[in-house]
Amino acid sequence: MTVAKRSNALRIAAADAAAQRLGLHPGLAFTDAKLRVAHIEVVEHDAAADLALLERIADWGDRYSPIIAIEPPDMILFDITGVTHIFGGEAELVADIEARLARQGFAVRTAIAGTARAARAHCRFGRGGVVLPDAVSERVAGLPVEALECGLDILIALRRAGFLYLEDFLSRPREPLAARFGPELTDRLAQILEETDRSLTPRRPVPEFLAEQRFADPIGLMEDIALDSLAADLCGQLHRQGQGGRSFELGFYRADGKIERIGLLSGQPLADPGTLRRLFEMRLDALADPLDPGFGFDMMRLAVLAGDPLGPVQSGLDGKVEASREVSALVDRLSARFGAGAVQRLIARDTHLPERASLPVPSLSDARDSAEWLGTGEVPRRPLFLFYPAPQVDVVAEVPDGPPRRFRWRGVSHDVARAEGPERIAPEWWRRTTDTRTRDYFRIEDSEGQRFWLFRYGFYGREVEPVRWFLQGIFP
Amino acid sequence: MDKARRVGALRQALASLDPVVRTGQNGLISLGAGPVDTVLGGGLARGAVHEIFAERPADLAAASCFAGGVAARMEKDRPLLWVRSRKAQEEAGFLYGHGLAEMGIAARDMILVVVEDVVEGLRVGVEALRCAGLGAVVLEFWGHSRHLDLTASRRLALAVENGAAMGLVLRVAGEPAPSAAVTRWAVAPAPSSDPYGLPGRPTLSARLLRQRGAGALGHWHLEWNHATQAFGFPALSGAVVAPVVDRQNRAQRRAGWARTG
Repeated sequence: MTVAKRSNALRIAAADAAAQRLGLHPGLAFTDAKLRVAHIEVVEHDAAADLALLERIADWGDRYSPIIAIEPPDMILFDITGVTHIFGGEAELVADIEARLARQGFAVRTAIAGTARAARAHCRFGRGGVVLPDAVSERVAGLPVEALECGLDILIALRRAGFLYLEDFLSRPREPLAARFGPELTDRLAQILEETDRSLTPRRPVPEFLAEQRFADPIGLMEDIALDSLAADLCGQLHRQGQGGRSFELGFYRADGKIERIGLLSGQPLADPGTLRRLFEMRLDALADPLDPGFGFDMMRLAVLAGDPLGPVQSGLDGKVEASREVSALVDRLSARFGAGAVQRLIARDTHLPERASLPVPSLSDARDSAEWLGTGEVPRRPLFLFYPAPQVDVVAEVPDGPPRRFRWRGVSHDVARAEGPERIAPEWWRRTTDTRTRDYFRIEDSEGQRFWLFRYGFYGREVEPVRWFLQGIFP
Repeated sequence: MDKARRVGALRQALASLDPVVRTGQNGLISLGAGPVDTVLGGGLARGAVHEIFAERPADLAAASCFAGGVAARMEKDRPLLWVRSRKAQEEAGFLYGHGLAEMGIAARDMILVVVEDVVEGLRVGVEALRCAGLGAVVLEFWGHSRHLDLTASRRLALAVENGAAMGLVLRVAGEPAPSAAVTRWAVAPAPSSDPYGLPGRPTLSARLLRQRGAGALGHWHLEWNHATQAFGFPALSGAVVAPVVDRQNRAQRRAGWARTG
């Protein structure tokens, strides 16, 4: 039994079957409960832990269907359209889920119905089990009005009007109901009656293609053996559809319910089993924590989360195509080995602020340039190396608004020999930012020939805050 | 005497086995500055590794400009791959796309690999140098490391040997060690020579410290010209001479006078 503080009193948040038999139901004040039963075992309710557990059970449930949604605090919805035949039918599927969860020590109630809302209502407020299509109205009739889950005010209004069971609605026209109790009520009624449906919002991206292998006995670390046939199976599917995968996921389902997922991104649509296997092997070798098989894996699943049409392979005709293919294969390999974040490219962005104008992004990301790169000019206008955040420097300026005479950075004093500026860059007021002062940029060359890009932040004499100088970058 | 001769023979045999001696067949990348290319026998060899030393951290930009200039002079459809450590980014700033683009490097195609340490950097280097589609591969290493030894540099040289890529090992504040590099340079910034007294084009002092198979060395002040994408020599710095444009005009005028004669 768990307790939690609700409306200023300790109340029972959840109770197991034994406690419920003693009349200790959720919502009861803890003091009352203690009066009724002297010795009760109580722990404090931990909603976060409950949610984490629910997430883990949902992860585990991935083996039954790719489309899963969780409904805190205690419900998981599976979209089992088209998957029941794998388990031998709806009843067998439910039996399997119940048996496995019971073995892990959970008390389970299940229901299968035509819509998510109907399944939810039958599971929480009805007898559960499989609701066959021709028995819908009969089964719905027995549900209490609470099954609509409409909120307390509507519930009270319904009770006052004498509605106790859903069968009271079935023969009535819907429009007056909607007018009196709100359209939400009739919407939900229609969903429970399986007339309309709202699709589930899956917790995880739904794979476009997947190949899986179940093992009768849990296996240890033999992923390469299974990986061969999984890769061949998946790439066969991809080939038939003329597709190549860009984002892959390899799931290891441990016998004790834990799941390890390993993602892999590819720069070019990939449908070659050998390459796919090699990339995954690299990825597995590069893992910081090696995969822990525990008591063994009982299922492996290789899925394509995103794909692109596979371009016709044209080799040997154009050396340039071949070369760029080599480069993207290299990017794939490096990303698999050193992490997708380590392999980057630069994109040009449409902004005045220098530190935002060139942004490193993972090579495999879909980010696109939103501006043009600068062209070659007479002298460089932008530095080769850019500091972000820019370090502050101490500056001696001859005239307040002029270029610096001397500045000090990292303990070294630089005498300015040549200077050009200012190039004024105004803050981007349309962005929500604390960076609201104008910058005046100067290109500077010191007496030794080093070239710097400094800016003065703010104006002398006009603002309350003192003017500061920063080093933004270094020119070659 | 006999011993010395035998050692000499062994040295020769070793040299013939050494991968880097067989370079140059894949083509040379000229710098664009005639006298330098002459000393190099035409330019920097592809399919080989070259070392560029930046003595102080402050010399990084100049050394990078040298490496970037060579990269910009290679074919445009062969991207540049640059390997840096995360620490270098914090210390010396991020490579800036617009600055690279101004030099003539295709910033859109450039691949930047951010690694944790020298060992990882070398691994990426070997993998990248083997790739047939890349142009220049810049490996930026900071400070001294025992991993940057002859073996490591041989490995890099072997990886690039049969390719069209060029390895440019950029050593910042590092000690030179024995290596299989074909050339070794020390690069530092130098005062620019803009006639108007403004900060001018990238100007650097490039010292050729070593060249395999040829004794010739040299020390030049080079200027990278953004427009022509070539290295050249800066106009004499110091005393400000008449602007270049003006001088050209005068020469034209003189030529005109000569004709009208």
